[in-house]
Amino acid sequence: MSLVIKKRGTTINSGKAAGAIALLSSLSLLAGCATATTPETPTSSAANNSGSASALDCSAETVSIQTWNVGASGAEDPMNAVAENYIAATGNLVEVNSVNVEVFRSQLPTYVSSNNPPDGLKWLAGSTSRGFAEEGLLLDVSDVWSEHMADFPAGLKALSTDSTGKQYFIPTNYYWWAVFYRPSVFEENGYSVPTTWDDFVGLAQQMESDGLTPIAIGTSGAEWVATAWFDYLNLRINGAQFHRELLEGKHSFNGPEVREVFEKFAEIQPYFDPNSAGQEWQAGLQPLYNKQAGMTLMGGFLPIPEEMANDIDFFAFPTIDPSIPRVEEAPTDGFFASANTDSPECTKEFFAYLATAEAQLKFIENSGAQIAANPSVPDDYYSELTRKGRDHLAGAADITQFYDRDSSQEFATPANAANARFIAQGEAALEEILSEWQAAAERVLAEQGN
Amino acid sequence: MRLFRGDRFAAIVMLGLPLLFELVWVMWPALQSIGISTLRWNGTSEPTFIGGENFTNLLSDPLFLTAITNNVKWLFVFGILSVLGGLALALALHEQIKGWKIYRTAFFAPIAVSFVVTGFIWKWMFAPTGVINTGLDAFGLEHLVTNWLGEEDVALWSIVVAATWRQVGYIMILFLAGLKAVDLSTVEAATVDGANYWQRLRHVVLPALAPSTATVVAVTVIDSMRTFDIVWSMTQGGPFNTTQVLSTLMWREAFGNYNLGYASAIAVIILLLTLGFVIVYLLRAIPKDTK
Repeated sequence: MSLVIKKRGTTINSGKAAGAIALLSSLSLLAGCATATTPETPTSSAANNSGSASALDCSAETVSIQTWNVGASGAEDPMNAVAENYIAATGNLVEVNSVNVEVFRSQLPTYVSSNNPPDGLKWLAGSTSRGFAEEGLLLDVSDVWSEHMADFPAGLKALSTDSTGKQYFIPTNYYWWAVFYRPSVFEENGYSVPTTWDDFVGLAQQMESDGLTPIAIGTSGAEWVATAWFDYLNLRINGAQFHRELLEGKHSFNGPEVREVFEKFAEIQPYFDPNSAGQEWQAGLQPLYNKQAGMTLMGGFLPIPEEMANDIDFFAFPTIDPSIPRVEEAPTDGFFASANTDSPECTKEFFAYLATAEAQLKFIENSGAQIAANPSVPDDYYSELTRKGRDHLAGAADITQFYDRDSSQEFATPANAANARFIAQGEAALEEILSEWQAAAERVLAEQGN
Repeated sequence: MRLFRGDRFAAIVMLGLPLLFELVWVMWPALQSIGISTLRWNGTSEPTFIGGENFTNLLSDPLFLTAITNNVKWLFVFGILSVLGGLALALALHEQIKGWKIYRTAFFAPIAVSFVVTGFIWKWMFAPTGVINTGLDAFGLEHLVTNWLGEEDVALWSIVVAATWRQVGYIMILFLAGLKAVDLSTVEAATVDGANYWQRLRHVVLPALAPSTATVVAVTVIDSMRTFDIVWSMTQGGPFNTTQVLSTLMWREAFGNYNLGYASAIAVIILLLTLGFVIVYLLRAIPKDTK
């Protein structure tokens, strides 16, 4: 019975103790600063003799890392291998616990605000992480950045920095979004890669008359796939600054700018797979794999069957207004730590390892076309496709994350429904879609007290 | 065979333990939800007390209205289909027609499959190129081929079909148990008096089945109001929120959007609706049986 009472107790505490969390977090931040200036004397020489970069003996203090997996893939969580390598190299202790991503998402507020949290947590860069950081719930990892991550791209550092200038996030890997296609299909039909919107719509039209489904897509249970189209159309028509402001609720979803987006959206809408709303995103890709569909807008995480590894390529979402610089979406994953962690120094020690090229290689090894955040990962570790993806992002004028990561989950759900519905139903439903979207956005803003 | 010396001691242990579990795991969290439903709280920051604001916001939230309408549609269609289907199966199998044991097992088997798995099986069948559409196509019924889970007017009913498929066997077993208790001599007497099948069913069998019916209706109402797993596994409330029910909306608000106060308000409404239906029904149904 004690377990039961304890369990109940912690749940209540996580609510009632919310006020105390700020205090606790500032205490642990202080503790962090204090120890950072007085390096600990190593008590075990064994750990230091291993020749690794680890200067801190954490062999008696287990750092617990909570990660997640998307399940069903059958692939081993790369985090296990990363932890094993770290343990072998330093003698420090790390414990990895991996759960399904949905379980993780539902537990996340509890993880970060609990009095006995996992030390490190894997999550996505962007609004949710930033929100926790601004609430003072996350550990300041600025010294990991200054000591070990000086060569990381400035964009990733900005993404990991809170409003007071402190870093709270260790990026490990990111990917790009683009229009994917199979070069063999383009060759067989004599298509060329479109760079302008008119070429793009013309190509879709041509594909349709050639008996192909021009655009493969599945949004059942994954309506965010539809929102990628909105993101790109808005970025190409109204630019990054307007896009960010819109996602902060500073403009109307029923206003002239968004209507302009949907005018272009309507030009391509007839060319989407008509089954979009009834199939999941993976099923939605099958026609592309089977050469029954021409192209798809997708992130680099798309599963690439081995037999088509040499027959998949991508091009940047076409230009609509040449005066608007090319902006790309590059969602980034990484780690943060709870401010309530019992072992801030050992957690940061492990985070420093997570930032190394060696560790980051493990994260990108078996997970599609991912790019390591650490810029010193040698070129030959990447496939030709991934190198092209990296250059595709490096040449972009600005980088966004994705609708939900740039705004909030709450703001994203009405957007996802609106865009998935537009793809399925087209212009006939537009008025209803925009007014519902705007009303939903207003409700969210009112709730947030804006 | 007696484990306990005194009846009183046995009663205290046997009733006390479940009561304790009920208090700790059911009553206390339920009361807590009521408390949280008066807060604006994201799970990490300081909660703000806002009184009944979550409830007034719900009333103007079109998604909540969609969800509650879907629950009501679900309650009636799923309820009527599964109760009538279960009753019909029970009556047919009670006659011990040839091979009734096989039929009984076959109809009851889906209950061994969880709602989540049921959802996955049917999602696969309802897929645009799934067995249902390819089957219709093969039989020359192309005009019936539909995007079962992708059309907003069809998706909810597709899920109801899947849920009913699983529930019918369960209801059948409840009614079969009830039919065993029907006094055969009254049925025979009615037959001798010249009552036909429908008259016997209407005036003899159904009244005798009333206690089972009360259980069946209560179970069905509760299952309808709390339905979650099958909707979640088949559509997650989509396409475009058209299959949202109260529990999926609650889940999304709580664990997607981290609006724990708002989600708790939905939980409280589910609780009140379920209790309301069940209490009213049992008050009407049970005294009649016990007289």
